[in-house]
Amino acid sequence: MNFCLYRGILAAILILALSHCSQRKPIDINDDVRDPSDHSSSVIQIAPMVPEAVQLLIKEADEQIEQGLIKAAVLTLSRALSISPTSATVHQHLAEVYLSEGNYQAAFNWSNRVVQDGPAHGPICERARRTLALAAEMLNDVETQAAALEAIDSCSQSSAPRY
Amino acid sequence: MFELDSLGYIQVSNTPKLGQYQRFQSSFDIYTKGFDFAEGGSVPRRLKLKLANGVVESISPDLYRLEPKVIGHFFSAGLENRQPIKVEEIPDTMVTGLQAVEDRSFSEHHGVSWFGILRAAIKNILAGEVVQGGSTITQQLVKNKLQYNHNSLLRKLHEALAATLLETKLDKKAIIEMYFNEIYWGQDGKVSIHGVVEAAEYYFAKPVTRLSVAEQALLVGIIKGPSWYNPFKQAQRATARRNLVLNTWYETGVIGKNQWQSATQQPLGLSQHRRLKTDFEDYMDVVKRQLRSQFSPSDLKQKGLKIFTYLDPYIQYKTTQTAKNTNQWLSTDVESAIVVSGAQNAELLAITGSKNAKSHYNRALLAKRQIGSLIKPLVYLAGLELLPGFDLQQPLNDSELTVTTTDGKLWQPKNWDQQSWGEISAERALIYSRNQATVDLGLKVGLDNFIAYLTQLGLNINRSDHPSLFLGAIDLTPFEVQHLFGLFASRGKNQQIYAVNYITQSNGKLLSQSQQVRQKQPKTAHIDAINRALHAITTEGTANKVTQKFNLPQPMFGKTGTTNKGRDSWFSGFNQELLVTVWVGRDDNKPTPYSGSNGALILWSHLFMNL
Repeated sequence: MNFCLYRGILAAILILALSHCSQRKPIDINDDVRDPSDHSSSVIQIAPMVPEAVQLLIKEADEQIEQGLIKAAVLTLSRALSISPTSATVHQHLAEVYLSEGNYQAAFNWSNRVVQDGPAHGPICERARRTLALAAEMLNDVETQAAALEAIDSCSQSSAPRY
Repeated sequence: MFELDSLGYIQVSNTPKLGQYQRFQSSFDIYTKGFDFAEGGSVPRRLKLKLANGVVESISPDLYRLEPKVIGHFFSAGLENRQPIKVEEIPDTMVTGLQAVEDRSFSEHHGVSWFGILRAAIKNILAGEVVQGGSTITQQLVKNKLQYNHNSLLRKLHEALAATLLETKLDKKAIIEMYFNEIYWGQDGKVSIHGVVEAAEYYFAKPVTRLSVAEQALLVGIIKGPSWYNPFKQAQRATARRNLVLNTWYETGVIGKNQWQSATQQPLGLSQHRRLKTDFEDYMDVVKRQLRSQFSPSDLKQKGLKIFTYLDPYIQYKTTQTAKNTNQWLSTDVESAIVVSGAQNAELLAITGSKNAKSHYNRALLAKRQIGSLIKPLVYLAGLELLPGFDLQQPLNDSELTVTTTDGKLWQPKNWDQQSWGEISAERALIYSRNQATVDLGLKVGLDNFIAYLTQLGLNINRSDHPSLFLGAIDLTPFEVQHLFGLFASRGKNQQIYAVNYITQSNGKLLSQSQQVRQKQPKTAHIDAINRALHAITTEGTANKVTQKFNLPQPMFGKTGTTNKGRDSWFSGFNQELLVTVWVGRDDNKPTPYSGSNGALILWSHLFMNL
């Protein structure tokens, strides 16, 4: 009970801190989503398997994002989606590319789908919740933002204490 | 093989060149044509792949896309899609060859060749009938643009005057370029073929730059009478005309002796993909409709738009073939319509609105028919979503019941076997499609609540105040049914089936992309509960033929639907990859001997077996 209350307060503080920024810096999916998630120290790391073709398309989309070709990246990921329509990895990449494009509703929808149906641990889990929180923030959906921020911790499974 | 053929690739026995492929047992060496996709070009290159047991075992490079198949063109003012070509891109033989055949004094006259008219007049008088026209290329262009519908002296004078005026406005190069882009080159069903780009695509499935001399000669030859010299229907006549053109080209020095000898020996070399052309017409109807509903009119007014769809040519071919075989499995009196989409991603892969290619009535999109028991999964879903504590293990009453309708009449629903099973679980009631138990549940949900729930799911139905709605007394098209079952196939994620993926401008730049519109999503657990029942329907329920007769690999999911005296026979079912809805019935709505399980299900199962 106390733990829940503590987490709730922490989330509220985070939201207050975010909402008091008079001007939010532009979202950078590497800085705001991918890097913090990839540094997760969770002992359980789930990386959903995808076909080789989908891996190549995701790589291609990432290169297009780096070059600022956001619309091209969306189309490339749409191809990946046609091959693997239920892949959480593809869904998350789509969420991120929409986030960087400023299409917050689409980013919200795709990341929410990963939160609901995607892996419960590991980088994709964490990236989905960070993306959802940012998209929700931009859409002024404070409740979802708080829940998503709060859920980030659940993606990391700490190792059992040795002593 | 199918895709290569439909894209106009030619099989060769030596090293393939652009647009050709070589096959050795299960290995393919393909020289692709390349295509500029909006997200980046696929450059022409050699592609090597090996198949094993029908799947790709190895491929180099690791990832490559063939160019998309052109399935049709829009010509209306709002959807103009003619692709212009510059005269420099047209082979010289074709440009000079056109003049040699149609208008030898083109470079000299001012729109009208009086000498040509005189020569034609003398020939016509000597023959006693019209055997030669005196129209110049400029006059033909004017005639084509103004589309005269009568033939008179006044029309001829008007045409001559307009041609002369055109010559004062445009130079010769611009006129010949316009001619190649505008002239009528034949008829593909309801669509006219205009311009050399479309003609090359229609007759040979290749770009103008890659036309051989013989192919160029055929195209130039049939301008005189695209119907009379239609190479698909009048191969001999068209070949003779082509050779006459080649003779003229040789005599006037357009081609050399070797080219002439070689070209006259060539077969017509028409693209075989044309026979599949009509397969796409029903799909184009959906594209047209969705373009209007999903994209802004200002976007669509631009010229040269390219519309990229989700159509799968192979699945479309198999779907059309299945519908065509309706008579083989069912009575000749019935028609059929089939819709196929991706189970998980709402991509419309194929659609056919009739069993006969001659029928242009797209039943899949336009025929609103009663859906019968197809509605039942939605009644049970509404129960799960709206009734607190309800689940599919709860008992329902499959017993005689009488409902007083709003107009004071008594309504007594019956089961198909005229029996009542008493108290049964909701799941069993759904699996065995029990009417009385379903009405029992529907009444607990409430008619108004049920209608409101359907509206939330995006199904706009006319207001109904009769409880027979719980048994499917509602008219929907097969395409609308496909939307409904897309909800179950995608575990609640999709509610719209899309034909159009995205649109690019003529320069290849992305203009707009379809995006799934989100409406109320049912709880995944509720959808899963319904899907368990839909699966049981295919193993032990009303559609058990799917697994017991046709032995289709599991898991399969689906629901049959039958309306009064077999007027409509439905089956909508899916596996992990595909969702298919089939309707069978008579256009005059007369009874048929078919229920969902011995009518639509038969076509459905054959299609799945062949995919």
